[in-house]
Amino acid sequence: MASSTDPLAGRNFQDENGTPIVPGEKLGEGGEGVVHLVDGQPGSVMKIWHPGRTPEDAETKIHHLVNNPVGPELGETWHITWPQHAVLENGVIAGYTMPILNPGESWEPIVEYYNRRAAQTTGAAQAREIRIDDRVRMARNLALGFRAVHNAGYVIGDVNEKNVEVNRQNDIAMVDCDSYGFTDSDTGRTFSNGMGRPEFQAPEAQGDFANRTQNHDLFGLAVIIFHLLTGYQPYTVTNQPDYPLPGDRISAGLFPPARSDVTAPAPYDESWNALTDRQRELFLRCFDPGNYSQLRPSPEEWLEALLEMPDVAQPPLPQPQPQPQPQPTPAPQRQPTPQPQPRPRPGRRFTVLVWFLARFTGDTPLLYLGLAAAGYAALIPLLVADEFNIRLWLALTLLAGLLLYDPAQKLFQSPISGLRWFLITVTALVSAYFLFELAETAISVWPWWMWLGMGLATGFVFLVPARGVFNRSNPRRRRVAIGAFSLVGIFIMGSLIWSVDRDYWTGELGPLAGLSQASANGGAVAPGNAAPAGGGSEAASGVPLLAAIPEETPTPTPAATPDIKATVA
Amino acid sequence: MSIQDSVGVYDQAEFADNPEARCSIVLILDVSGSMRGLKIDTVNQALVKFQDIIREDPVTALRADVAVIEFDHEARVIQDFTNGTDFEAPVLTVKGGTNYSKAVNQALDITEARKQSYRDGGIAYYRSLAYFLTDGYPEHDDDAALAQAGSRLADAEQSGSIAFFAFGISSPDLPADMSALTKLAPRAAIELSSMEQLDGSIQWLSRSVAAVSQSQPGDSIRLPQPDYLDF
Repeated sequence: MASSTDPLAGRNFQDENGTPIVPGEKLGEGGEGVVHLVDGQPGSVMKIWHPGRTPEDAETKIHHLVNNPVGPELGETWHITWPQHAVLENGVIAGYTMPILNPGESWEPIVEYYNRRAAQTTGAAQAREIRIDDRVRMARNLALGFRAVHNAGYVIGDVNEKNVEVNRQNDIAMVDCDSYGFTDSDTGRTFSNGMGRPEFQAPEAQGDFANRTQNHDLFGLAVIIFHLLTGYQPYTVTNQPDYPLPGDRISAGLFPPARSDVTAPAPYDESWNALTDRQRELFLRCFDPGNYSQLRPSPEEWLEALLEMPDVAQPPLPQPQPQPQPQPTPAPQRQPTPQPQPRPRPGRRFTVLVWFLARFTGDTPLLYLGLAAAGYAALIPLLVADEFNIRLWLALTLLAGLLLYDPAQKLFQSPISGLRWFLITVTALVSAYFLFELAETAISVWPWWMWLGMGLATGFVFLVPARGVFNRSNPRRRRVAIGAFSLVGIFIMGSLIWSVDRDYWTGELGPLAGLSQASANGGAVAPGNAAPAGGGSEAASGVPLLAAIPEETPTPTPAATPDIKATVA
Repeated sequence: MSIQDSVGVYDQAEFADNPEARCSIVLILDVSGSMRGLKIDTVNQALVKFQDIIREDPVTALRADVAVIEFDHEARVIQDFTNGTDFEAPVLTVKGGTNYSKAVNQALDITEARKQSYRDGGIAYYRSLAYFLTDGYPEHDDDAALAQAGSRLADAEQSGSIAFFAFGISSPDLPADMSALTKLAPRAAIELSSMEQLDGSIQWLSRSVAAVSQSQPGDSIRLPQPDYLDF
């Protein structure tokens, strides 16, 4: 279509305060209006309705939305494109501004993360493997979003898989917020959106999408969570030929797990059985027609039920080998693109080492146990050595890392059972012991720059779990976790500082080594003393580091002392 | 039935990957000699636009299953049902005479087979859409075969399993003969009198498909207004 003419050209817009709002680059056009960047306001976009498509009583509506915003709490990983300002044209409302989702994060509709076909072809999920823990995280973020919107008194109404977007970090974003329903307390006017997609609408709303409530939204939330956890629409039935339409299946309550007379495809049943008891219980409360009159599971209940992973290590559905397309009558002019073969999954997250060893030993727990033992054993020479040799250090820590990687991956693979928790605890204690021992032996032999590097590296490694802890939805758990981690951190820092000798700072290995030499000279840095003092300070500066570290523990050369004295004298 | 069986296995793998509800669309296109030139070129270009509109929205692409049947005095499935995420517009070339009934029967056959595999896979589905385009007269059809295909179509429309839209494309030198189409199609056949209208009708079809993935005011899917005659 030749829509090259810009509908906003030559028009003047202001916000409520009279500040001009200048449309920038056009981002998109839909049935309702156009969306542009806002010039001079990075981070904002403006939506301007098409002529004649301004919603009824838009001024009251946008005014209410702008003054009663909803957003994520600090640290929550969901986003919402909530209206920020009304946009007026000659004093009449023409649209509104809203925050832009960071375009660098590549937001895609959530359907592309639970429908494998979409993930293969549209590219959102191609860049990474979407695992069950990713999907559970999306589901939790979605529940957080629904909770906040509901707590603020809004009804989402048109819940569907395009109004929720996902980025590469599994953050979710709720979009199209101007369609939310609410009652304006000032005017008493009730706004509602009569649009919807039958497959996300509660049975009592089928056929009439007006007058929906938050309880209706909860049905849609459960449908999306079901999609995320199982890959299926809940009402997937194989023996009900009279109910082809998705909405009719919901009205008739054809939820296979709740009914013995309704069958589902085998992979659906497998995915259902992989859910935890609590998750199944919540889905049944929502989708079992016997419970249709009950209050549906709340976001809070989902947040709690989603703390556990469904038992899906493999993708939930079997992949029969694609048969060659039958040749219809004469040869087709263009062969349909063949279905991409499912990628071989087992072993993807493990290193070549395990793949190689498993050929001799088989993929048994013993293999991982052996690797773990070998990994720790590789560190022992570092514990007993009292000389610092950087090559040995790097070689052995890298070797240990390589050996321990696979057992660690295996240990943390979902589902995490009781035995796993026990093993994780034991491993954590053993690892902590090794770390402390290493730190103790290192304390006297590491040069300061090694400490600095290690500190930075550790900080970097801890970023990820720290982010996870700070994102926990349950505030009490979160505070407990933050408190515990802070105490551990303070303890480690404290004991490190405690065990470092005061002389370390100005000693041979410390960062102030040069200063000590200088002060030993009584502050006088005579040109002549540069040469003898060089032995100590060279290690800390200029010269390539590896070359500068002597293989043997450097001992203060007694010969140097007389030289200095001689110079001073 | 060995071909049907292998179709079934292939379909089930496809449904496991993509369990979205489906709308099957079959395009039944005349490639008789008289379509040569501007008409077939317009159809080919319109098919590319059709493909683009279907793929523009991820949910529409996942829900559309498109088949293409070309017919002259014979009917050929040149593209069996292919999901919108994979669909690539075929390039049609003109051939021989004209026969409606074979094409219509074949379209109904493959649509019914497709629906059976939806049911086997537990997939929800909407009414099928059929788009029938011709510019001529079915000189290779006898009245009995035409009447039989017509009554089959009427049954399918009646039961709500298909919506069959028949179009005749006229050019100044060759006006479409609408009488045979009227006998065949349960809905009123529509005469298109320019290439713009022809193009518009295929765009209307793609927007009709997109309706299954858009929010609606009730639980029935409303097709967009047939605006192609305004072109």
